[in-house]
Amino acid sequence: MTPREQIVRLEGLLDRITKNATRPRAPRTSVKPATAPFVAAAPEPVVEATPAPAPVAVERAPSAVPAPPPPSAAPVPPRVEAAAQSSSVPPWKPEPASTVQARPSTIPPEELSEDDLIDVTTVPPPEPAAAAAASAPEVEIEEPPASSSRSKVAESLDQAIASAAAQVDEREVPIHTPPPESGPQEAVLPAGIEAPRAPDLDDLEPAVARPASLGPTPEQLGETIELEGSESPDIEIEVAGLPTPEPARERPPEELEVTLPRAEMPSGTYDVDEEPAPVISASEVGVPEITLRPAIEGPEITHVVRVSEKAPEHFSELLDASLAL
Amino acid sequence: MGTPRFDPTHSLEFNFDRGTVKLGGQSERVLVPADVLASLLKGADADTRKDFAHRLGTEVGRRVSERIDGTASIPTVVEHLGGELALIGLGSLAFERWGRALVVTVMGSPLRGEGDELLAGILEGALQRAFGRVSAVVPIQRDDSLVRLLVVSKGTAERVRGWLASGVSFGDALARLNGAGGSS
Repeated sequence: MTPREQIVRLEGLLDRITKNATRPRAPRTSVKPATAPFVAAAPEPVVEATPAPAPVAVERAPSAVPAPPPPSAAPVPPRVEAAAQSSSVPPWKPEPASTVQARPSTIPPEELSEDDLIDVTTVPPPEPAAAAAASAPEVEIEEPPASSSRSKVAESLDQAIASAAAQVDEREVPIHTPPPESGPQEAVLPAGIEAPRAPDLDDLEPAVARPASLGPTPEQLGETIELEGSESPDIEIEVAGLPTPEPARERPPEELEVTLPRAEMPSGTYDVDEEPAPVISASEVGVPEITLRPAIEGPEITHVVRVSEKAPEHFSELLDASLAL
Repeated sequence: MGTPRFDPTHSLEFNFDRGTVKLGGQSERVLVPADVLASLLKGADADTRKDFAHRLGTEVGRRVSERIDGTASIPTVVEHLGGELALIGLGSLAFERWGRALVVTVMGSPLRGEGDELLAGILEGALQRAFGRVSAVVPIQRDDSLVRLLVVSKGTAERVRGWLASGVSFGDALARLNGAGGSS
C-alpha cells in the first residue's frame, strides 16, 4: 500500500471517528473481537520515533493528514494504536465539557470494519517476533519497545490526560531528541504530500474571520483537547557530546623548542640576506684560467758596477784604502 | 829629490875576528837555522810569537823609514820594504792590489807555513814603524812557496778569518770586501 493510499484511508477513518464521537455509543464489547483478529493477524509493533504527549486525541485539521509511521514521523493516531494493542482497552467516552465537537445526531454511527483497520506501520516487523506473536492465540499485552511511545487508549478524558502525563514520565527520552512541546503540534507531512494551504481570510465570511491574535476557531481546531501543563519536572536533556574544546592557544614564538634565526638577529655566521655562493659544477671546471707575466720592456736590467782602475799614487793611499775595507 | 834606491851594499858586516855580524853597521845579528827558529816559534805561545814578530817588523820599518816616507810610491815601498825583509833572510816581498785591498805576497820564506804568522807580525810592525798605520795582516792563501797576506783593519781581519774558516776562498773574501766596501 502506498503512502498516499494509507493517507487517504486514514482520512476516511478520521472522519468516521469524528462522527462517531458525537454520538452515544454502546458498550464497546465488539471492540475486543475487532481487535483480536487484528492482533492475531498482524500484531505488528508500531514504531514511533518521537513520543507524543497527546496520543488520545485525534487532531483534526481541515485537511490534515496524519503521517504514516516512518520512524521519525508524527504520532500515530491513537485509534490505530488501540487496534494494535491489547483488547482490554476501555471504551472511550467523550467528556461532556470537552472541546470535542459532538457528533450530529442525524448521522448514523459508523462501525469500523476490518477494512478500516489499516496497517499504519511501514517498518518491516522482525520475523521471529512476528511469527511468535502470530502463533500466540491469546492476546497479550505487548510491552512497547524502548523506542516506541505508544500509549493505551484511555476510557475517559481524565485517563487520557493522566496517561499522557505518565507517559511523559515513563517514556525514556532518547538521546539527542528534544521533548516536544505540549499542546497542539504541527503534523509533519510525509514525503510527496503538499501542505494544505492556509485559508485565505479574505475569502472567509466576516463572521468567520477572526483576528489572528485570538487564535484558531473551534471549528478549525476540531476535537482538540487542551491538556494541562505537565507536572513532571522539566526534562533535562543530556546533550551528549564532546566537551567544547578550548580554543587552541597560539604558542608564542619564544616557546618554540627551536627558535629559528631571524634576519634581524645577529647570527654571526649566517646571513639570510646574503646570497648563496654560486655552485660551480664539475663540468664548468675544465680549462684553468692562466695568468701570465706581463712583458717587460725598456729598462736595462744589467748594471755592472766597476771598481775604479786608477792606481793609488802613493803607497800610503793604497795602505789607507786597504785599511778602510 | 827622488827617492833613493835601496842599496844593500855593505849592509851586512861580518867581523871574523870578533865573530859578530851586524846589519847596516848597527846591532849585531845571529845566524840561526830557519827550521830551528820555526820549531822555537812553534813551542812558544801566541803572545810571544806575536811580540817576537812585531819587534822584528819594527826594526825593519825603522830602516825603511830612514830612506823613504809615506809619500813614497808603492814600488818604492816594495823596493825598500822588500829589501829589508830580504836582508833578514825571510824571502822576497811584493804587493798586489785586489780592488782596494792590499795584499802582500812573500815568496821563498824559509819558515814556510809555520812562518806565515811570523811574517804577518813582521809586516804589522813594519807598516806601523814606517807609515804610522795600525793594521792587521791576515794570511789568506798559501801555496808551496808563496803566501798572500791581506792588509786590513783589525775588525775586517776577524771577518776575513771567519770567511776563510767557513770555506770561502780568498778571492771571494776579497770580492766581499770590495763589494761591502763599495756599498758603504
